Amino acid sequence: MAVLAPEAYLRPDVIRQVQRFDLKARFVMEGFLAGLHTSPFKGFSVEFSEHRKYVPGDDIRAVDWKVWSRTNRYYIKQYEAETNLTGHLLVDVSGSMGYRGPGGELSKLEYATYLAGAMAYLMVHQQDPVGLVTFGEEIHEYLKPKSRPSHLLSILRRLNEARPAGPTGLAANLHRIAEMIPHRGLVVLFSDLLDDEAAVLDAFGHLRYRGHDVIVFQIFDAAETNFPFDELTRFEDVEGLETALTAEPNAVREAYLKEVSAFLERYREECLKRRIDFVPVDTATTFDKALLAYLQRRCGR
Amino acid sequence: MGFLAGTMLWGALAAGIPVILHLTGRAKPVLHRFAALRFLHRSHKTTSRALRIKHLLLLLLRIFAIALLAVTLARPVWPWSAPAALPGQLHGDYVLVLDASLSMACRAGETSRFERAQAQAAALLDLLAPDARVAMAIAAEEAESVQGRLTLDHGRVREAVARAAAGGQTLDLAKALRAAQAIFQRENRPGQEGAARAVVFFTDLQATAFAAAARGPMGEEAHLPPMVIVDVGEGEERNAAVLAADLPQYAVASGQTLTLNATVKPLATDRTCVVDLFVDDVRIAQKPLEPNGQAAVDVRFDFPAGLPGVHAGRLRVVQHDALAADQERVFAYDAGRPPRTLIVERPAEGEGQLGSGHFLRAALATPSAGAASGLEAEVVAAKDVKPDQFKDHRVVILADPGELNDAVWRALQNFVQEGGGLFVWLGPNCNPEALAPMAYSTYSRNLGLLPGHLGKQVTLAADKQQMVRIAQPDHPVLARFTPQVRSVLRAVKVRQYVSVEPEAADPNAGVVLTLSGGAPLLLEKSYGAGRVLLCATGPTAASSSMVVQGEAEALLTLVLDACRLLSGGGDETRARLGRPLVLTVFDPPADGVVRWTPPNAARPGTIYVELETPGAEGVSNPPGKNAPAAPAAPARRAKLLVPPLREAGVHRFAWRPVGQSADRVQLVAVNPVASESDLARMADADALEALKPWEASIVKEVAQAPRFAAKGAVGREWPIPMLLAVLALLAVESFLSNRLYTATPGDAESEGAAGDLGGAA
Repeated sequence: MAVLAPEAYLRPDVIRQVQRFDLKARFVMEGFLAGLHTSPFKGFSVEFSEHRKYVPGDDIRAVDWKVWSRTNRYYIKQYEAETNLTGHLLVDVSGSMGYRGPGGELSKLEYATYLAGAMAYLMVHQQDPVGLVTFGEEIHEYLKPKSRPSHLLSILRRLNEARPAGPTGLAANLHRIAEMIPHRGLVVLFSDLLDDEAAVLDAFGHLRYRGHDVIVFQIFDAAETNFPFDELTRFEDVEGLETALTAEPNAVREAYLKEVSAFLERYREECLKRRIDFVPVDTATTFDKALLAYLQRRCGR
Repeated sequence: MGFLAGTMLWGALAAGIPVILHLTGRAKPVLHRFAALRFLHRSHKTTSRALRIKHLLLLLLRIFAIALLAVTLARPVWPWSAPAALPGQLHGDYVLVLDASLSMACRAGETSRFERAQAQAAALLDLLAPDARVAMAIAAEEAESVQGRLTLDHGRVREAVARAAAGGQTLDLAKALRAAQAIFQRENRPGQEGAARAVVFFTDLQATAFAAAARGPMGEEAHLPPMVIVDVGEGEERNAAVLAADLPQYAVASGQTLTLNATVKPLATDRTCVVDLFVDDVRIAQKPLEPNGQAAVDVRFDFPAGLPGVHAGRLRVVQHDALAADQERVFAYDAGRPPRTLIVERPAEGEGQLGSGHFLRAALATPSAGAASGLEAEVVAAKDVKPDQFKDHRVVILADPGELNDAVWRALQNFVQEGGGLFVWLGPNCNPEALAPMAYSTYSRNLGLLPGHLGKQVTLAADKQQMVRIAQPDHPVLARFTPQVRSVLRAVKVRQYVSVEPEAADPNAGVVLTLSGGAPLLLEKSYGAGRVLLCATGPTAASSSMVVQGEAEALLTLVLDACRLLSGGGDETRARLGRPLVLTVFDPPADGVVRWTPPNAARPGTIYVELETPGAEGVSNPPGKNAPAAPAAPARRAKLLVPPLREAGVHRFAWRPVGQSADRVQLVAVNPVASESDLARMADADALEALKPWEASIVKEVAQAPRFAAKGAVGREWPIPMLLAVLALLAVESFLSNRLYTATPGDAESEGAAGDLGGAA
């Protein structure tokens, strides 16, 4: 059996073949980190912040011996990790997230959970507490942010057990979550955002008002962004909310893609106004692109 | 447009295939559960209408492409390319019909309508192939088949077209088309049923002719050939005309004042026009007419009849227009001694009484339509009448005179035999039993002088008086009756009459009027060269109400027309244009030669009278069982059969009577039909409607005719442009179909939502 390079696990079609969910998340994270060797973000996990004088009681393992050998003084390295960034992973598990288009490797929910799992790995890896919220019409799971490795396993298990069902209550749940999170932190949302736009944007504003940094991973299936259908099709809503529609795909494709494009553009503009990172991805996008967006956000703090 | 392979048009039925496929072959949609349905709904809402239109357009394109392909394979011949049709390329059979009515003489520019028709007919002959057959008819009141059989000799037809001329008659459209159809029916040979054929009708679409045609059947619907109407008219022309110019007098005496009643159609209804009256080419009167908005103006001229002899007059409207032929109307009269009438009556027997002929005398003396009748009546009592008195008169009226002696009856018989007219009234003074043998059997060589056997006197009670019924409405005695006079005549109540039984074996006897009970009232019979009228009632108020004031007009008209008929004169001074004329010639020449001088002719022609020898009419007067030998008498009148009068104007007939040194002259005025003076044209659509069930098309130039026949179409094929059109349609259909059904997702990927996602990194 050929041994795959770590970067290979960033591809959805490859990660799909991994059975264990914790391994999936780990492989994605390791592949991402391996890909960073040549990137300008070196030393991400032990990111240096400043030196300060040693005072009794400090951990002697933090003493910078190189500085001591040159100056004969004791200094301690301070790291970014010490800023205690608390992350909250919000995963939409409504019925629409279970959609997987023809020829697709992953459903939107699968893609979201892998991405969320990898991100949880990263956060725990740098001792950042990370929490998890899964929601559909209501909030299904809520794990408080912790940085222990055992907590990571809990997150991964919850993500693995998530199943798409029911309508979405995105805007209402975001408002609820904004109230639930007591301290400022990083909120990462994984959703297709197929809810009332104005209400969702209003909820984004609520999160920002509470001082959270927000990253929105807007996840579409590749079939939703490319509309690859070519024969007469009767489209039924996966959530059962919209009336079914029979259409000639070739005839409506152009107008459909314009609608989708306008939808994304509206979110992009509104998120920019609210200083929210809006990252549209589809299930064919490699995970590094999504994680890179997170990293950019993390470095910006 | 014609088709050279018309059966291929059945292929056009394949145009229904796309529709059938559209209705039955709809694809079953694939079911797909989709998340972003909201975008699909929005896009479908915006595109569905345009999509439906595109689908419909595509369907129509496919239908049209298939139909066009079928039409292309049927090899159409396009009419607009007709000028490019080569001479000598037109096959099939053609009947040319030239409208020769008066309106065709209208000359708006340098050429008249008829000349344009001739030019168009010649142009059609140029197009004919050598194997094309052609016939020709000239249409007016009658359709004259100049070339009545289809012929390959185009030159002969060309000459006939060149010789033809517009006359002064009106157009009887139905007769013309029936004649054309008859030619085809006559020439329909086995195996030729499907051959190309057409009637080509050169006309100016005059409204009066086509409107009259619209009221009657235009032919049998079956086997009607297609018709092409070549319209040679040029819009509606204003026209001034003399519509009528009549002398109401039946006979004119020298020195008498004549009255001419005329109707003039001015050029414009708001402009004064002038009419001139000429007699013997001398203008004797002129009148200005103020139309005052009227399309026709009545005018009256009173003028002296002039010296004894015949005179020709004409009334002319002095206005220039496109149709000169109807600007004057001619008339003729003889100012010689008027026909004298002898009334034999029973005189008044006491004071306050009237003679039995009083009302008849009054009727003849009563001015008719403002003028005297012109008949000079002499009254004589029955007891004073002499047998030799009749020869100086043209008409003898027996106004219920009572008993007449044998010599008088014999003289009367000879009088009628020689051409005199006898009008017998049977009033209360009549004794049928005494009269019957005298007048019917005893003195008749043939069946009798009177038109029937006399029965008994019948006197009706006041509540059983009988009305009058008209048995022969077209009889000359009744021909001039207006509808009002006819109704008055029908209202006459008869109180007394003599029953008359017409002789069934006598073909010369006829019943003109009857009583409401069916008994004959007025009977007619020709006897020898003369004529007898018998009225079964008397001319007095005791017999009928005909003489009372209300019904007097009926008596007046009846007596005047009867006398005109009996005197043998009247209408012979007038004749219809284009119709043959039967002229009565009194005192005919021994050699039978009559000199006929048509208008504008330098020299007279010669025609011969048909001499009527008394006693020679074996058929008209079969000999009776015990008839005595006929008395030998010279013929006093003869019939002159004149061929159709082609020229309008005054025709002069002259002959030298036996034993006289001077010629006797008869003038006959011939005028065009007044209805032709209305040059208004009928709209094309209305004309086509009037011609139904004929299938016709109207063109201005013969080369533009959209269809002459299936196999001999004028025009040109355009196969390559047609095929290119089909290919262009298919290309458009392919393009649209590709846009609708085969657009790939990748087409929009670079610009669509995927592009937005790609830009995320």
